[in-house]
Amino acid sequence: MGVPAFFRWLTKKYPATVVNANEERNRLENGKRAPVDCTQPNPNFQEFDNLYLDMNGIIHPCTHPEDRPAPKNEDEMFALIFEYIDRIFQIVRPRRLLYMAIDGVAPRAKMNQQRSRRFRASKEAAEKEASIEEQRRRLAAEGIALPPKKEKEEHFDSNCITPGTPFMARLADALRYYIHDRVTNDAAWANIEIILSDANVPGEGEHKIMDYIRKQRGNPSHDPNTVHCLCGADADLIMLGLATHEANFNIIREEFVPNQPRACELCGQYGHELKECRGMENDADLGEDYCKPEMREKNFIFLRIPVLREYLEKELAMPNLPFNYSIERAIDDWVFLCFFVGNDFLPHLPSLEIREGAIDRLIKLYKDMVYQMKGYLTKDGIPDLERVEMIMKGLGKVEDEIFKRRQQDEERFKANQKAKKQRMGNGRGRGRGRGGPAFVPHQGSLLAPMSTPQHFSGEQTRQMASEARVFAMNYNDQANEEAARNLKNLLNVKGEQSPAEIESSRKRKAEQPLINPHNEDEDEGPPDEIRLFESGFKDRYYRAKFDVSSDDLDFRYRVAWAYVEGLCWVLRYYYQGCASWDWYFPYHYAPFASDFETVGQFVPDFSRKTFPFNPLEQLMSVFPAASKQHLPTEWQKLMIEDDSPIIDLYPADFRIDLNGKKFAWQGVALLPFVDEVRLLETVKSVYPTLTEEEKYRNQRGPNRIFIGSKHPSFEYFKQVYEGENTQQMIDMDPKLLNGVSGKIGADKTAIMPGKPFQSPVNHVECQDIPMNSGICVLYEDPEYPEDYIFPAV
Amino acid sequence: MGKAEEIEAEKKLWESDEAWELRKTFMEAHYDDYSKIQLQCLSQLFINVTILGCEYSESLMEKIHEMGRGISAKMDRKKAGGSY
Repeated sequence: MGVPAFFRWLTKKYPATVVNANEERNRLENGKRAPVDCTQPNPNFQEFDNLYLDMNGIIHPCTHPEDRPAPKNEDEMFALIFEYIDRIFQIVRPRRLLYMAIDGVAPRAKMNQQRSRRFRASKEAAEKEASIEEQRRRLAAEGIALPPKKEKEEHFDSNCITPGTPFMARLADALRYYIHDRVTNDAAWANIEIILSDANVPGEGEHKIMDYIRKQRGNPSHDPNTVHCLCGADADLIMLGLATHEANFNIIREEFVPNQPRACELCGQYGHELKECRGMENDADLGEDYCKPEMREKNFIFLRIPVLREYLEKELAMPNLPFNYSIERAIDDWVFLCFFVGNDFLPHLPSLEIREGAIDRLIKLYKDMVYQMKGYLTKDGIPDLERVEMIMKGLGKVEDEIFKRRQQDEERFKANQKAKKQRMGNGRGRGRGRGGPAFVPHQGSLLAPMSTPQHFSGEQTRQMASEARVFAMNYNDQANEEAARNLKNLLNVKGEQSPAEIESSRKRKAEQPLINPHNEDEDEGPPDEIRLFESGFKDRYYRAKFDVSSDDLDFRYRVAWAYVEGLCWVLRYYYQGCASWDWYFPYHYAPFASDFETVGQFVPDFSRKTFPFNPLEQLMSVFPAASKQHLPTEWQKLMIEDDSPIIDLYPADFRIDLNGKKFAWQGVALLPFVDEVRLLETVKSVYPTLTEEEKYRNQRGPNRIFIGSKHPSFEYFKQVYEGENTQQMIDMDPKLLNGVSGKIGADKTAIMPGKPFQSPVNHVECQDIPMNSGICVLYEDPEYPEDYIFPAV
Repeated sequence: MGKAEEIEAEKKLWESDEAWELRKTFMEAHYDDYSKIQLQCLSQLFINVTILGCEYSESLMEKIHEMGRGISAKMDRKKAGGSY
């Protein structure tokens, strides 16, 4: 889902959902964070029981931060990740459970997005490198000193943050060490359970967390008053929070700061962009309130779902319904409608643009239609497609109106921009001379402001008015003459320049862009071949985007059915878990709302048993050839050799269709979809080449649960390592775990309590643990029958 | 299974008639020279290059252009004479 847009919309509309997090920020003399005693009461609005971490939201900013210099090596990255977790831990201070979930192998539906992101990342990296090279060449030609080139190895390929890579395996090891260390050394960790779901456990991080909560909720021992806090930045966490129907669910995330300064890619300094870089000569003066990016700290905010639920209760009030009103059911419908506007698995409908108030429009439509529909849109995550059809028909009726309005708005926006540009004057540059008024009356003029009331006779006033008119008429000529005079003075420099003058002239040169960046007509954009605002737009859309002829109605319905199947899959994914690992939407574009006119007849079927990919297979299906170094050598060849039977999956370059948007990252990457059967068939040939370590990495792995020696369940957990039956998974005792249920078993790789634990991270903050006091066991969620439907309400 | 059935079985549920016609013609033209899996790969390459606008290594692009010579042109003519 378009994260910033959805968050902005939500927090603007329902402002009280957000509160700033209170955080102790004392620092020691050496600049390090002072340790915080988290056994003390929570400084925020309430105490929390469970803290869930969607780890990928932590791994990304810690390994390749956008607003500060990159960490030097992997050890430093891991130390940063630990510090980040500590920070959230001390804000939330969970009293019962800490759940860390790293993204594992994702469902096919998600993999297409991952594939597109990774291919784009590689393409952008290559383009960036080329433009840095070009700038370096240009500066070198001018004889300007340049900082030394970065070593090739120094570049961190963020694509390695994908399940199955060696990096992710090392990260899982590091996190196991981290948990043991905190459980052993920090009193606030002594009484809680810690669950780690690493990249070898299939499923997206946040959905593994949701599976856990859903399965606990369905258990009689679950405490309905549990206070949850989920850490992550994705907008869909709000949907997940609502979908749990838990009474007290909260989200914590970094506050969104727009327009963060970025370091120049060439010289690493701030305050200018790559194309303005002057190598080592850059102006180092960044102003008084400049703060080093390393020292700048983002605040955290809480998003309180209970407050959002109160808002929604008001928003979704529907008096005199012909059936029983239930706010919980209405909230489920709200979640469903939000998925129309954006989700990670389907392209959004062309007429639903969140910035144009699409959600409000849909909710209004829903509230109008619900009286005719005579029931809710969804139940337990399963949509009623006849009612979906009714809503979509309603939207379809106003679709062309929406496109027309959009075009008018855009035209107006363009005209405004143009006028603004003209007002601001055509001169480039900063500060003075730009944005000046078109006319300034001279001193004593009738039009000039005066401090006190003046008495003039009628004749005097008439005289002054006439002078003011003449002055105004000649104003432009005068201004030009004056400018010309000033310019002459500047050019006819006599004698020596003062140091300040030299300085200013050098600076002016430095500020000059190397190429003229302002091309008046540049922002016109590519020609619009679809013209959604003119009749016949549908035919043009299907011809241009899907390559089908305009009379192929059957094809349109097929796309709409595939889309609706997708909506059913998505909603189920949030309410019941992954319905099918191999389902995906097989088109790059969405249909129109008016193409949904037959979906009421569609019957989705996800009953076929499907399985997630193995980690290396997923890597093969989401990586471009440029990231092949994260794969075993023989597997790499399949991505680059001309006669590989899957070479069609790895284009060296691809087109990005802007699809009416302004920036490349908003556009649609036209990549081929992965042929799963052929991929799996092909990798069979390279399976025998795997080393033991690679085989291990390619396996499906277990969740692990950790507790310290003071935890009430400690003795109970120790039992799984005693006796003969260490192979078996045994039931946990929910009474000793605040109602948490599931099965535990012996972990062959675990380091026993009382033994030393060697740190896998080479960093001062990560010392060996002389005597580990934590215990680690395998963990399985409670089991449910295969056709079990989790009741949403 | 004969050649025609074998090729027909390759049609994907979601493939548009236009794209399928193109791929089918391509497969028919090269059916005898390649194994099934190679033909799947090459025909998909052909579609990716002609419809999606993907680019591959120089040698591969040359091969695909060679193999697809005449096929897309024929299609374009058909399209132009059709519903435009």
